[in-house]
Amino acid sequence: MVHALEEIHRLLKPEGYLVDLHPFPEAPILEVYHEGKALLSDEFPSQSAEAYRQADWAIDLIVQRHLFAVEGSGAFDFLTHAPSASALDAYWAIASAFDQEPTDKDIQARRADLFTRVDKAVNAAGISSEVVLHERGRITVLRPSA
Amino acid sequence: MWLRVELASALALVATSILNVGQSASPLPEDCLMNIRVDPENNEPRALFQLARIDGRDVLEVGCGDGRLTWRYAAKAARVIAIDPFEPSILRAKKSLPQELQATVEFRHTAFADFAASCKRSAFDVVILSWSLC
Repeated sequence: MVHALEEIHRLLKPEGYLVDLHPFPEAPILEVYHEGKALLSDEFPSQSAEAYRQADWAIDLIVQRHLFAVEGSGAFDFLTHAPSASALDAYWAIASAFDQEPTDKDIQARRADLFTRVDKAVNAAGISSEVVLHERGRITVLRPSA
Repeated sequence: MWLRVELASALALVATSILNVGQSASPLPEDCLMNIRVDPENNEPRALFQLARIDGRDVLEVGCGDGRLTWRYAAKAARVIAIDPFEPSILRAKKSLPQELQATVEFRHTAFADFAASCKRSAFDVVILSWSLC
């Protein structure tokens, strides 16, 4: 990871900059909305937190090594809207096919439980309800040091 | 893990493939493929534009997936090379590249290490790591 950032330093013009976008390590939130009101809100079980911490660590390290300097940073909400948890689950089946790490069985079980509760809430609320996966993204802009 | 595809970007990939490639691209029931919207609020590009100047710049995007973020900033850039090691994503990105961006954006199926090895020093004004540094 750090080697890749060193390569990016080489590819950048001296006055250029690096923009890193990745989620915060905190678990995403899965929510059900009906007419603007949240009917259900719970953590979406994920095993990605450690990978995101490693990304944070890599950014911190290249700054400590004076390879880059932080010029700015911020946060944003990243929302994925779906009609149901079942639809989200179906998408997740495809998404998992791209993942290089198998999903932990405990996480799979907790997701299944969450999806069941979400679909119950959606079915009770009717077609105007919506499932929203809420992730929190981090953006960092870095300037290459001389 | 370098260039890991994570949940939202993967969902975005699938959603965009549905919107741009067609229903036959997936074995899922039609009602599972409809109405997925990824960052319709444009929060991610808004955060990008608040902190980074893209206008007239030569941009390298690493981990572009199917171009979910690329579409939203490319019109401002002078040139964009967007790379991803996952071939189905790049194929979808190429297939759904809007006509007006074809002169600006080039998608390449390659790992970052291979791309970097073939690339000269000081080639880009901006490098964007699009959910790929993890």
